[in-house]
Amino acid sequence: MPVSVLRRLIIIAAVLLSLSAAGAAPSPQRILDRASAHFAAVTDYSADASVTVKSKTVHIPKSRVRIFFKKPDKVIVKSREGFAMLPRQGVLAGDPLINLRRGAKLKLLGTKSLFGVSCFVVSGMQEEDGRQIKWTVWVDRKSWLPRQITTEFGQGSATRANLWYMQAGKGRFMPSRTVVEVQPPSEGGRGACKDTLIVEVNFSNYKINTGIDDKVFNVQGGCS
Amino acid sequence: MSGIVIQAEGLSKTYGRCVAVDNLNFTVYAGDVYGFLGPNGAGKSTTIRMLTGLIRPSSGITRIMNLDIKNNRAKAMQGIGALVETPSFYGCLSARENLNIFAGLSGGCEEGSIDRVLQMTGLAGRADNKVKSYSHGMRQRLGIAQALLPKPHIVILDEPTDGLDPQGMRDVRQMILQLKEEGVTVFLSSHLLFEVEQICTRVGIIDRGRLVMEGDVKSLLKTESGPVEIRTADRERSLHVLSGVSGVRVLSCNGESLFINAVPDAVAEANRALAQAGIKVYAVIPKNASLEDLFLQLTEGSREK
Amino acid sequence: MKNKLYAEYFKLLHKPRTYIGPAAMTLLVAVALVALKYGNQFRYMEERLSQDYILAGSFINAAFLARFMLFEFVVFMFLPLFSSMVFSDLIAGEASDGTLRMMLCRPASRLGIAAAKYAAGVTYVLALTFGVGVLSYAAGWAFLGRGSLVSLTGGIWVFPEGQAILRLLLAYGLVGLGMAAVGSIAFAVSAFLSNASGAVAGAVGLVVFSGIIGEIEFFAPLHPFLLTTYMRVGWLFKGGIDAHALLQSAGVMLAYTAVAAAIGFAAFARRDVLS
Repeated sequence: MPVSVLRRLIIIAAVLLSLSAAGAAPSPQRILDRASAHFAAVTDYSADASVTVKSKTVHIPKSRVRIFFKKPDKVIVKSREGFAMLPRQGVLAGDPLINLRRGAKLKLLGTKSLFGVSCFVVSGMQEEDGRQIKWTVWVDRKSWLPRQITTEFGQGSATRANLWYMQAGKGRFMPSRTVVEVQPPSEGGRGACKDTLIVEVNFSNYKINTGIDDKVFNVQGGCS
Repeated sequence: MSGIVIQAEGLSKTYGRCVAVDNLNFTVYAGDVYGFLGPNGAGKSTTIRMLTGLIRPSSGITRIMNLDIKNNRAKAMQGIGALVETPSFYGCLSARENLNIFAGLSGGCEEGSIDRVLQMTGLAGRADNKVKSYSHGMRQRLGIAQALLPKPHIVILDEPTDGLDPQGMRDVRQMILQLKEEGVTVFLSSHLLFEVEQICTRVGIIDRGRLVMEGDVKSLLKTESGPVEIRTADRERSLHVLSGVSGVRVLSCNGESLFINAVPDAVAEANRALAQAGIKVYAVIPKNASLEDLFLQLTEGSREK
Repeated sequence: MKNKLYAEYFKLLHKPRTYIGPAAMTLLVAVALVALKYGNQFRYMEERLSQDYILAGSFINAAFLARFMLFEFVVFMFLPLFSSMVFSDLIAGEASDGTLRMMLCRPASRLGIAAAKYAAGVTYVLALTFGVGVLSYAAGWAFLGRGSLVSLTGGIWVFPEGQAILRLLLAYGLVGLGMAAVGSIAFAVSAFLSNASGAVAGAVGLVVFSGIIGEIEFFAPLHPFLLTTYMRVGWLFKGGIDAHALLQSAGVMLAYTAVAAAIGFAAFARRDVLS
């Protein structure tokens, strides 16, 4: 083969390879890292939240509270109505992906549409407290924001969290609404609710990185 | 029926097989001070309770001011003051407060009435002390006070001098006489026959649930013979002789004296029999009839039983 | 009637034994308050809840204390005991003291006297029952704060404060009616006796016996006829307020009250006062 033809073939092959590299899906690890990156810059925040709980056994009226969060995991809820009670599994504060371990048998299941939004679907498995936990995350391909997180704990117990976002500051997106559906285990298991629990939280009035004092999270006479 | 204020007709009360009052009939007239006498267990308290509506008769009628107590008790008791057995009060309250409560149950009383009755019964100085600190005599006087509170025209008193000292007894007698002067009709039961004889105009004597005697005191004592004292030289022989004289009943002996109960003719016969037996008779002294004597005569059967 | 009512209220307020019930209930509220504020039992409940729930504030508050005071020992023992004590004193107590005899020698109708006594008794038991509620809420407010009511009956129920107060009012109202019924039974028994303790034993004994029968499944056909069935108020603290059940409970207790009162009045009207 003449050298000039070989050189052209190599150049064409290189161009094709780079084009395919550009169009190929990122690794699951990378997808999760980019999704988490949105929340990494948030050291603390507070927001008004309106919480609605639907359940056959847990009957909590619509509550208006203010949620305070400070890294790594300080959360406290304050209610002007004197007392409020929010299912812990239904309130996502901080990075919703923080408990999903990166090295845990990650797998990219492809891209699928969720509520009309194209998403990467990443699944993983990890062991915790002697049980196998399987989870799936749907990450918006455009914004890299996690839209849905499902977690299966075994024995029929599972949670599904759907998230919607709003702009809260320059280039920063925070959840505007979360809907968490909690399915209790079919037999035994822990948890105060014995049937499906749906918790919807609507957020507003974010104040981010204001340097919340640790004293705010000191509880007097209540729990956080 | 005019002038009749209290009337009992065929009044009876039985408790199971026990007949407490048996076909009782008596009448109290306006202005009377009527003494209701009888031995213990004769039925006096039961009768008074039926008069005041505290218990329902088994049969018969009681009327006050011509109103049947059974059907019209509240109206019949208006203008009546009553003290039935030992008076009881609310110990945690003062005398004044107790009287206030009872006055309220009578539909109220005139202003100053409470002070008036407390003054009458000598309790004005202790009016504001709690009744639980009162002696028995003071409670008795307070009981009389509550009976006088409504300025009654009929007063029913059951043993009003019970527990009182002699001065207190005299005060009560004076008070009853005062009421009589004012035209108040008094119906009272008492064991103190001497005082009943002094103050009562009429008496009714009840024994074993039945009325055995009723009438004007003076008339009863005139018609009934009192005991006669006979003093003789030989009491023992005299007893033997008199036991054979018809119409003579030996009541008691005391030293040389014998006390007999007999009509005048029988007294003469007794004197003749003693003289015939050769017994010297030093004196034959008729004693005035007393209510006690009459009472004891009439209720002798109860005591023997 | 005004004079008779005044007399009965006056006596009631001046008798030392009238205050045994309020004193005992005040002590009980104080004990409950200390237990809630400093005891571990309820802290443990809060900690258990906080494993699954984020709690803003504490559910141990005024409403919780007021609800807590409606526990069965209070509703089936304490309150009936104090209610019976006062009602039985009205006739049997006065009979044994001799003051009934003094009253009935006055020109006042027996039914009028009985009505005044009964009214005083009903006023007392309602005041005692609602007094427990008001005192526990006020004490809870002062020492624990106000807020929603958390009820753990048949699930988890959180009632906002307004709802909580309404339910508490209804619950205390039903219990008050129950105490009026129990008191009426004591009143009826007392009309036959000259001994107040007999009437107390009769009324309280009936409540306890009825409560026991109400717990035994074998006697389930009898449960709809038992007074204590309708004195239970736990159902007011879960779900919606069942108006039908509310009316039924109130109706049954009013029926018990009316029948017992009628028996008491009739017996008193015919009673021979021997003491």
